Amino acid sequence: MLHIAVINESTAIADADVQNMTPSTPNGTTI
Amino acid sequence: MWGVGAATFALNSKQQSPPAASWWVVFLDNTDQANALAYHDLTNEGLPISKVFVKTIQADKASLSVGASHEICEMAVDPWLNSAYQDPGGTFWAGEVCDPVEDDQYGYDIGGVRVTDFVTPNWFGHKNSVGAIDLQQHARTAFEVLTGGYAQKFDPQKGWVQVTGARAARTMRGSQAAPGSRRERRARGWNKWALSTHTFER
Repeated sequence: MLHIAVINESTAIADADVQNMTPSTPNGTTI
Repeated sequence: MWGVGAATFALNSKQQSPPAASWWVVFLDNTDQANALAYHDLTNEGLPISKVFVKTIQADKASLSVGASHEICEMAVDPWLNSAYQDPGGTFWAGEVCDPVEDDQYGYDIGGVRVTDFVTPNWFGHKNSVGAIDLQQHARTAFEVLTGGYAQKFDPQKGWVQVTGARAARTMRGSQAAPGSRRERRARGWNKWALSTHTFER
């Protein structure tokens, strides 16, 4: 399964908001 | 419909290098910050990288979750920015699945989070193709660029040129391909891409 690392370098958005946009599920997210 | 498998996402701390063999989605303020931090065209291993320019999207008063899902979907479908499809006149169009239907108004909600619409293979389809042109069924015909959207087509003399919807032309993101964006990288070409030299400090 593809693993995508989410890296937040922005000063304008919180990590929690970034995580909310990139949810990870036990079975992966089908896109 | 695009043959993309499942993926896991994990927030990476700023102090730790991402796991080996992972693709990256990087949230950055704008292209200046991307350059300052040396996030370039591919990961440090030469794998696909997406950049979400947060302040640029905010300046357009657009949805960050739509913008982020846009970049993630396009990276998943065309990770090397090299797919293209021929229209009835022989012109090739870039295989970007979200650009033609870009705009918050075309998106939809998953678990309370608004995400991007995207085109189906029928957007690039033959006249006898059957089925929806885009997931949310806003487009009516193949190769139709909606007012908030844009697309790239290949001109043998000029290279990749952008077709821009009227509404998109009034936004920062739609009106021009920012340095480091997928549109700019596609037009620049593989042999001019650079690996990320970003340092993850412990």
